[in-house]
Amino acid sequence: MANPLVWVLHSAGRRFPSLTAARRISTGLRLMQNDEGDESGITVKKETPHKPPQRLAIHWPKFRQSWKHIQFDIKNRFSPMKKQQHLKRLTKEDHVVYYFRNPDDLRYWYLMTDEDIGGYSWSELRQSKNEMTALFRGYLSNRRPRDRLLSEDPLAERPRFSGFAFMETKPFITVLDKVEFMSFIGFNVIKLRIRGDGRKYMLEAHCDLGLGYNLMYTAPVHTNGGPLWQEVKIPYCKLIASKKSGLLSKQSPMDLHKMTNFRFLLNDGIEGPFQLEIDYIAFERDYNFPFEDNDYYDPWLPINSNSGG
Amino acid sequence: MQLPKACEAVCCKFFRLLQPLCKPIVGNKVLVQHNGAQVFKRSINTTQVTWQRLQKESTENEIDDESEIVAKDLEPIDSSLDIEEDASLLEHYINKAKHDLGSFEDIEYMDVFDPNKKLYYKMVDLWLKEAGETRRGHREFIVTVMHAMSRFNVESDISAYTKLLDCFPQGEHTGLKRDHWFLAAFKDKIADHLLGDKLIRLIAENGAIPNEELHNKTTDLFGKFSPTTFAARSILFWYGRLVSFNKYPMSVSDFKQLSPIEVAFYGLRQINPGLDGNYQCFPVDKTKCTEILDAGKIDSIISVQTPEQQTLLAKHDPMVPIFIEGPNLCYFREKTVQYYVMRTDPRNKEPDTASKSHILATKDWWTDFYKTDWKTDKKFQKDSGKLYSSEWLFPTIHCDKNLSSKSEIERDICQIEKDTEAVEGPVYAIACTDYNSPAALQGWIKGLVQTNKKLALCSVVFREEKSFMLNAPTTDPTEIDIHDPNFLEDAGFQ
Repeated sequence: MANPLVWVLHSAGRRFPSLTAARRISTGLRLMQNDEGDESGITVKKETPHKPPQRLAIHWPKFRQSWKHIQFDIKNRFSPMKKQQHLKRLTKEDHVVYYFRNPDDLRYWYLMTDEDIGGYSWSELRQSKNEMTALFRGYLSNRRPRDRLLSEDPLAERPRFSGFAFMETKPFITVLDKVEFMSFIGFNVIKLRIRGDGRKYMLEAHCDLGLGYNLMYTAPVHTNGGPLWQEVKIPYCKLIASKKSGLLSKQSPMDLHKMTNFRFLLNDGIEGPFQLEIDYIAFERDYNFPFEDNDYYDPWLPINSNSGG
Repeated sequence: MQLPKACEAVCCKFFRLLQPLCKPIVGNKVLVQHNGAQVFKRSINTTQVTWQRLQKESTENEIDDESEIVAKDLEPIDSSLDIEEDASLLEHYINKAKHDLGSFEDIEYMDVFDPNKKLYYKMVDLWLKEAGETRRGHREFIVTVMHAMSRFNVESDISAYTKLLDCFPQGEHTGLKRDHWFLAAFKDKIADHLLGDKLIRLIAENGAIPNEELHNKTTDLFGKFSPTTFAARSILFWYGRLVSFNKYPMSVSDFKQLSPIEVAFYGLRQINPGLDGNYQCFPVDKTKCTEILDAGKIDSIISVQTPEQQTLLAKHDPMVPIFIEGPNLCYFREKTVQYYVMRTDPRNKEPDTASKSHILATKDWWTDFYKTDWKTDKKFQKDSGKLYSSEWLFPTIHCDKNLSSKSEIERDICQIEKDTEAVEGPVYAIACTDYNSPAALQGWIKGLVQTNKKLALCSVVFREEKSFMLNAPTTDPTEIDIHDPNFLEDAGFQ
């Protein structure tokens, strides 16, 4: 039986065109009507109006939330070691980070596509029919945005434009808008259970080293497609440091104390629909892989660096 | 007015010395010299007299029809070659190469069986002969050949790219080499280095496997401290490490030559992984199908079944129906594959009675029944419960309490792993066609019955489901028109 109402997250691009160049985060979760007879719930006709946030002189909900975090932090520090959550992980073999059994679990994610730049691809995130997994799906288009014109000079370069779409975790905000880091500590391997469509998705973890020095640690995930579930294991040592989707020549090991976000990115340049179903994202400990450093030792590093010394 | 001969000689020498400084580089005009005498001006507004002359010479000596060349029917001109002169440059050398095929020098390329690839190498060799040691016009020639590589099916051969590196001027005093880490910044000819960088990015795009030869040639040409060698080192480093993430890598030229049935086979291998999969191709009764397919589509059914799925089918209860779920799309590289799935709905699982083994005796049962020790068959002491009376002298270790934290280890994944099995039943087989009518699937069932005899007893139902991949809208379905007068109200602005 199909639900009459479905929680859906949409990427908001041209819906709210802004004059500033600010990054538009997708709209919050909305209840939308499900078409009758359409069990997969693809098309949606009407949506509830968007209520802009209240503009208060003092933002009281922020103080309430930060007081809760302060209480939790104090309890955690003065409790015995067994109950401290960041140390409890060392006794655990696995730790599930994200899973989608409730529709409320979608509020930890947000979407973005090349609509922000003026592109024409769209995406959505919703719970699937079996009400246990999340569906990230949409359409990727390589149509050029109107801003990026090609020059008429026949000798000039004509680079191809490829669209992108990704879903990223929202940062954890604790006390007065302080962004807290995710803890990758104690574990060795990222484990995913996904059901894709045969495309290449990039799993990325964002590392914030302060003072504007940000790195994305990426790894490609080649999905099988089809009805069977796929378990993917990516050790930390195989994640490649990159900046603006370009692999760096100088690879540095991941700082596990400063990881902020997870991201699933689609950037393969194939025009068409895409669909990715995620069951869970978890950490695991595997002693076959190293715990420190990465697998990318470059013997040409002294030559490739600027001074060559 | 005629000058005296001595003055003429002096003026000619003077102008020849100034020639490199007086190269007319206005806009994008460059002088290109061939065979000393003929000088072609390469600019947008040309009369093309000289090119027409060359084309006439080539058409006069046409090839016989007995030649084995397939490259005669080359594809039309690429849209990337916007300038007509670039295309005519290529065709000039292609026609010249067609004459020379079959000569004694072809022993170098005896292992190359594809005539298009032979043509490519011949063409480059001829240009090298004509250009000479100075290699005048090498940048234009390399750029045109890079755009036209797909016509010769040479994209995934690394030797084709290293051949293009021979088109750069070779030698010690060209001013191209950057061997010193500091002085490299003060050297010229950055255009050549950037062209080489483009070449190496093409190698990465097309998926050709880099070589030691590539590395050695770039360092000999461009030096250690140039962007081309930087790119060559990085591609040598990263290529193997990025390819290892892909289970089934394939080169671009091999992918192009695949027939639709091969694409379906590789797609099914990706969807249903397993080394022991049983791949079969069954015919379809076309009279019963309501569709007529185009030429490039699959007329028959290709199915795959692993032995694990076969055993699951053998255990299937014939009272429960089997479903064939409707067409769905999957990507194999850039192409799509339409597949059907044979599966059932899940049932409440019964406990495994076959795993109960017939146990004769255990330690606990023996001590309870006989009240003696398991090994020695001796009776225990009255008070202490031990075998020997003087055991009270030995130190005791209470192993009942768990000193190790094994009982406290938590595992999260095993609590969540099998939730989907309660909702989704097991898969028995997967097939691939381009037909959308259920009459085509009857051929699949007929073929599977030969290996799975229980299928004949079961009832198979075709369950049509709307798949997102086949019916996806290209535009956002919830998008609001900006020109709609109610836009601002709906968006919440006031």
